[in-house]
Amino acid sequence: MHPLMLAAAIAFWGWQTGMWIVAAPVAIALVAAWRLPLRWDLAPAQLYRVADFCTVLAVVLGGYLYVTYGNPRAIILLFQWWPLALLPLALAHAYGTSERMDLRVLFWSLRRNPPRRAAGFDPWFPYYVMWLIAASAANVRDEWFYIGLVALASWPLVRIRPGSYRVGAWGIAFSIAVALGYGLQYGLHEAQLWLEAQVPEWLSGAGSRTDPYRSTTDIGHIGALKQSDTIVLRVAAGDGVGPPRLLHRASYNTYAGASWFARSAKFGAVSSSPRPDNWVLEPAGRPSARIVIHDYSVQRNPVLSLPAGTVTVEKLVAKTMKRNPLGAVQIERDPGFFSYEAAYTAGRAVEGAPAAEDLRIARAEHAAFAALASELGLNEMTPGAAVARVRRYFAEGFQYAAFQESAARNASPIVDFVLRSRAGHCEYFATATALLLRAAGIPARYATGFAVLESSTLENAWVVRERHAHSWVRAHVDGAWIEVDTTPPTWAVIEASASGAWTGVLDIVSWMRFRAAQAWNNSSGQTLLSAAFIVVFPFALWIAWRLYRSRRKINNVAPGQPIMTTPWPGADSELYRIEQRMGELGWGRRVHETAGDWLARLRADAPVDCGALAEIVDLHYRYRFDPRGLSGTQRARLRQAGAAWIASKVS
Amino acid sequence: MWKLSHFAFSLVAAAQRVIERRFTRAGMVVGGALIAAAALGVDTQQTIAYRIFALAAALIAVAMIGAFLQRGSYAVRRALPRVVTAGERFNYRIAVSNLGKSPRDGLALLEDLADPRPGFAEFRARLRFPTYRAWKRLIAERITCEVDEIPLPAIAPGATVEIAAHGEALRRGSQHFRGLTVARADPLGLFRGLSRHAQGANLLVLPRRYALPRVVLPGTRKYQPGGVALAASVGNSEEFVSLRDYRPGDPLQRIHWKSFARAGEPIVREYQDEFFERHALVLDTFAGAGRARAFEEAVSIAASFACTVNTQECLLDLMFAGTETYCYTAGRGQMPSGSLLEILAGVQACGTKPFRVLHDAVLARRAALTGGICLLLAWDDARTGFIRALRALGLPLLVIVVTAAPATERAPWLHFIEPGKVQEGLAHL
Repeated sequence: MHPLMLAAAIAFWGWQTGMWIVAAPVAIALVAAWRLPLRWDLAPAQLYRVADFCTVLAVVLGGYLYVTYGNPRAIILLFQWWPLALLPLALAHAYGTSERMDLRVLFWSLRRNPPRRAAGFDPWFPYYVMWLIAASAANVRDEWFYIGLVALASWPLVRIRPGSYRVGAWGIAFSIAVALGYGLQYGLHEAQLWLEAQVPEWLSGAGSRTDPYRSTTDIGHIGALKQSDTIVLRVAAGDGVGPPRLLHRASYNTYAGASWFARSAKFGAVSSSPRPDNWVLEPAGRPSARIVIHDYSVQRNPVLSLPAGTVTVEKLVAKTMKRNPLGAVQIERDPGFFSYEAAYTAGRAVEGAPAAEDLRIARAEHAAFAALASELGLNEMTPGAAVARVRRYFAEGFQYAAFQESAARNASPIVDFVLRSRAGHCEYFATATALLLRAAGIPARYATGFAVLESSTLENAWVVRERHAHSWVRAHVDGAWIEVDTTPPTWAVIEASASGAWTGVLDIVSWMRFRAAQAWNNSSGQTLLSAAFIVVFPFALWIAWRLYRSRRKINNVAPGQPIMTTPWPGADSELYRIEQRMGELGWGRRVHETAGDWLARLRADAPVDCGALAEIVDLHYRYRFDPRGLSGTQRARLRQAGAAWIASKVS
Repeated sequence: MWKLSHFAFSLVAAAQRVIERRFTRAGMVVGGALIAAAALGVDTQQTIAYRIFALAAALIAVAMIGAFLQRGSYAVRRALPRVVTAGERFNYRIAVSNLGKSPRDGLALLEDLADPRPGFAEFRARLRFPTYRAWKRLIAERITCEVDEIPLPAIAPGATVEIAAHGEALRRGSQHFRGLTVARADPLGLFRGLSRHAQGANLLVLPRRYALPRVVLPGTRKYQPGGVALAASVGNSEEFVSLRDYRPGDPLQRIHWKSFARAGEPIVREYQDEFFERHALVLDTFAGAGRARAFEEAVSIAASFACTVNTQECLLDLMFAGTETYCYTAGRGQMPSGSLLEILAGVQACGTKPFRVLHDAVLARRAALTGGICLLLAWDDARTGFIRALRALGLPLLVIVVTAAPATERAPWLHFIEPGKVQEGLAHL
C-alpha cells in the first residue's frame, strides 16, 4: 500500500471527527515508517505482546465508553476509536521487518492451536478500511463524506485493477458502483425512517426517544406489550419530599389511526438567564419544589422529562432549548448522560390555552364517544364533575391488561376498548379518556412521559425504568390544565411482576455507569483521564521497554539514506518495462525462463519484431551480468532502443 | 440438534468455500468492510456507516456482474502422478490455453477436489458433541490432499501456458480430483468469474514411511510347499543346484543332453526344493476410540517394513482384518512391495469385529510362517494372548505396540512406540 493512501484515510478520519490533533501525529508516525531506515526485527512473541496490549487497550476503552455513554453510543464511539486502539500494533508492524502479519498475532485461538501452515496477510488494507469506518461513526451528515469515501475507495482499487482491462472499463464499472451506492444509501436511510414510523414507539426504543411531533401507540396490536427493566432516569428529590408522580415529556392533540400527533405546535426558543445553564419556562411562576433529574439519551437533541408546572430548568448544559405549546421541552446537545434541576409548582399545569384541536374527535370514534358521553351524562355536568365521573367510569368497569388476545371487532380499536374488551394498557385508557372528555366538550390532550414509582436501594433517589413509560390525559378545567390518569393503579404492579431475574445485577451495573458518568461530568473528565493515564502509561512504557530490550534493531544505513538504492545491478534495465508490457498482452516472461529463451519463444510464436528485441536482450545481459557493465554510450543505446521498441511495437 | 448442527456447519463450510473461491483478497477486504459497516450502520440515524455499506454492496454487485461477463473461454489439461506419499509435497503440470480473442490476465487456477464435508451418518457417528471445532477437525481428517491456488501468467489469445501445480499429500488414501476451474477477476478486481472444466482423476496417497534401522528379521528358512507357485518361473521350478551322473530312476527329462554328448554318459540336472523365509506382517486394525492416531502410525510403520524388507529373498504376508481378514503376499515373484503400499493406503480401521478374528487368521497360517512382525495398537489381554499363542509355536517375533500408554513389561522382542515419536522409537529396534 502506498503510504500516502493510509495517511489520506487517517486525515479523512481527522476531518470527520474533528480530531486533527490526534490524526496528524498518527499519520506522520505511520507514514514515516516508509521513509525511515530504522527497523526492529520483532519476534512473534513480541508481536503477540503488542497485540495483547491492543486488546487490553480496546477492552479498557470499551469499558470506559460503556460506563460513560452506555449502549449504543458506546459501541459507536468504540468503532470510532478502534483504529487508535490498534495503533501500537500498526506501529510495530510498520517499523518491523515483515511485510505480512501472521494471523496468530490477532487470534489467540490460533496461537493455542497453530494451523498446519502459517497464514499471513497484508494488514494495511484492512487497517485502511478501519479508518474509513471509524470516520463514519462521527456521523457528519453531509455529501462530502460520500465524495471522500469514493475518492479513498478508488485509490487502492485502481491500483489493483487487472492489467488486461483498460482504465476506461474500470472507470465505467466503478462509476456504476458509485452511482448505485449513492442511490442505495438514500434508499436505506429512507427505508429505516419509514420502518420506524410503522413500529410503535415503545417497541422501537421507549420513551427515551420521544418524538414531540408524533406518538405511535400500540393500540390495536395483538399480543403482549413487553418492556425492559432498563433504568432510564434517576430522580432525586429533597429530603422528606417525594417526587412528582408523573414526569411529562410530550403532549399531542390529534388522534388518527392509532397515532397521536402534535398539530399546530411549533417550537419556540426558551431563553436562559441569568446564567447560560439556567432556562426559564414560566417567568411569572413561583416554584414550590425542586427535583434533580439524571437523564441519558442515545440520540442528539433529547426531550426533557419534567414535572407538571415546571418554572425553570437549572444547571442544564445545552446549546439551545425550545418548547412547543403542548408542553414538550427539547434541548440541543450530544447524546449521553446529562442532569438538570427542575423547579416546579406542584399540582398545577401551566402550559397554554386550549385550541380547536383539543376538542376534535375523528369520524371513526365520534359517534361512539358522543353516545357514551351522553349515556354518562357528562354534557350536563360541570367540567370538574365530568372529569370525576370519567375517572369513576374507568375505575369501575375496566381493568389493566398488557396483553391483547384478539383483534378489535369494531372498526376502531379504541371504540372496541370502551364498548367490548374493557381491558388494555395505559395508551387505551389515556386515549379513551381524552376522546370521552372531548365528547363532553372538555379540551383534552394525550400526554406521554414516565411514572415515578420506585425508590432505589442503592442511593437516595428514585429510579424510572423503561417499563415505567406511561400515558395519561391533560384536561383543561377551570382555566388550567390538570392531569387525569385513568389507568388502574395496578398497572405498575403488573408490569413489575414481569421483571427479569437479572434486574438486580443490571441495576448495580447501571448505577456504576451512572456514578462514573457523574464523576466524569463533575470533573470535566480530568479525574478519569488521569486515572486512565496512571493505569495505561506504565503498561505502555513497560511494553516499549521490553521491545527496546529485544536489541534486534536493524540500523545499518546512514540516516537519511534509503535502505537500498538499487536492488541489483541492472535493475533499471528497459527490458523489464518491455517484459511488463508484453506480460499485459499475454506474452510475458515466465518464471525461470531466461531472457534468451523468452526471446526464442517470442520469435517462434509472437507477432512482434524480435530483431530489435534481440539487441535489447544482448545489451540487457551485459548491463545485468557483465562485471564491467555498459559504457555510457551503450547504456544510452539500451535506453533509447527500449523506449523506441515500446513506443513503436506495442503501443 | 444434530441434524440442525450438521446442516448449519455444512452451510457455513459451503459459504466459506464460495467466498474463498469467488472473492479476491481485495474483494474480501471490501466484504469485511460491508459486514463491519452493516454492524455499525444498522441505525442510519446514529452513524453514516450505512453509506460505506451501500458503496461496498454496490461495488460487489457490479463486480459480480463484471466477473460473470468476463469469465473467458479456456482449455485445460492436467498431468497428474499416479501415486504420491503422505506428508510430502508433490508437483505436476497443467497446461492452460486461452480460447478467447483477447489477452487474459488476473487469472488463477483452482483444483476442484472432492467435497470433504462428512455426511450426516459419519458426522453423528464420529462426534460426541456437535461443535464447530469438532466439525473442522472432522473435515481436516477427510482431506487427503491440498493443492495450492495457482496464479497464471497473462495468456495471449490462442496461446497456451504450462505451469507447475504444487500440492501436499496430507494423509494416506485416495483423493478424487473432480476438475479444474479457471478464475478471472472482474474489472474492479474484487470478484472472480469461474470457468469450470470437468476432469476427473484419482490420486493415490501412499502411507507415510519412516527410515528403519537395519533390522534382522526373526525366523529360519523353511520348506515352502507352495514353492512352485511362489517361484519366479512357471512350472517345475525347484532351484537348479548342479549336474551329476545319472542314477537309475531319474526322469529322462532331467538329462542334460549337451553334457551327455560331451561326457559320453548320461548326466542329469540336479534340483533342490525351495527353502526360504516367510514373514507375517500383522497389522492390528482394531482401533477403538482414541486410537486413530496410533492406527495411522502403525500403518506407516507397516509401510516402512513393506518397502524395506528385501522381498527378493523372502516372502512377506501382510495380514489384517477389515470386513474380512486379508492376506497379501509379496516377494519371490508375487506382488511387488509397492503394491503392498497401495493396499496399506486403503486400510481402514475395523470397528465391528473382535481382535480374535485376526488371532485365528494368523494361527491358521502358522505352518507356512517362519517369523512375524506384529504391529499392535494396545497391550491388552486379547493381544498378549495372541502373542503368547504365536510364541508357543516357537515362532520368532518382533512385536511393536504403538500406544501412548506403554506397559512396564520388557522383552527383547517387544517394543513400545509412542505416536508422534515413531522415528525415535524405531531407531531403538
